[in-house]
Amino acid sequence: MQGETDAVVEALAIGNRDQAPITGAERTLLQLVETVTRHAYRTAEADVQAVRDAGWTEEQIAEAVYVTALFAFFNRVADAFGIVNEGYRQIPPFPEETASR
Amino acid sequence: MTKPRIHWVNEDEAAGDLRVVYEEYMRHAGRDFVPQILKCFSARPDFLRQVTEFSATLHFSDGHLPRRVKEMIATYVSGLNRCPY
Repeated sequence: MQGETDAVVEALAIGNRDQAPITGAERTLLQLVETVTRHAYRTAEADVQAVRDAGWTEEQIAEAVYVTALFAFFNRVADAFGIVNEGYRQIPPFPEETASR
Repeated sequence: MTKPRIHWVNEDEAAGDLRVVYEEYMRHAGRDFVPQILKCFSARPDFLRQVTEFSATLHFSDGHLPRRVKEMIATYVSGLNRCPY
């Protein structure tokens, strides 16, 4: 992640929004990102309103959805082809990986 | 070098349109290789060009959201999807 602290990357790279040292507004935005990633069909007006209330504009919310969907697209293709990290950064193991070792 | 589950064309094997798109990418990115994620699209060079273009348009630039927030979203989504790439 360009221009971001390791602690934020480390937490977000394993899907841990609560541990990432980010602002409340960013955490609220990532809540919507999680809903759209895990079960977009459940996105409700309240989910979007919470992000507006956190100070994000309508255009920023829309763009956040585009980026979320863009990376779902890349994730699916990368996983289908079976490619792994090219060493851009060492991603810490996912919790269940450490648990199963 | 990872051997992909589905065949892709490597830089040195690329010919025709694919070679053009690979070279355009490397020149534009200032790199001497094509990232694996992009080689996944080597079966369709026309689509690969569009993928690099819309990625640049949407992600690799400030828009309504600062680049930093977009990178956070990208990292978080990949984490949620348990995608190691």
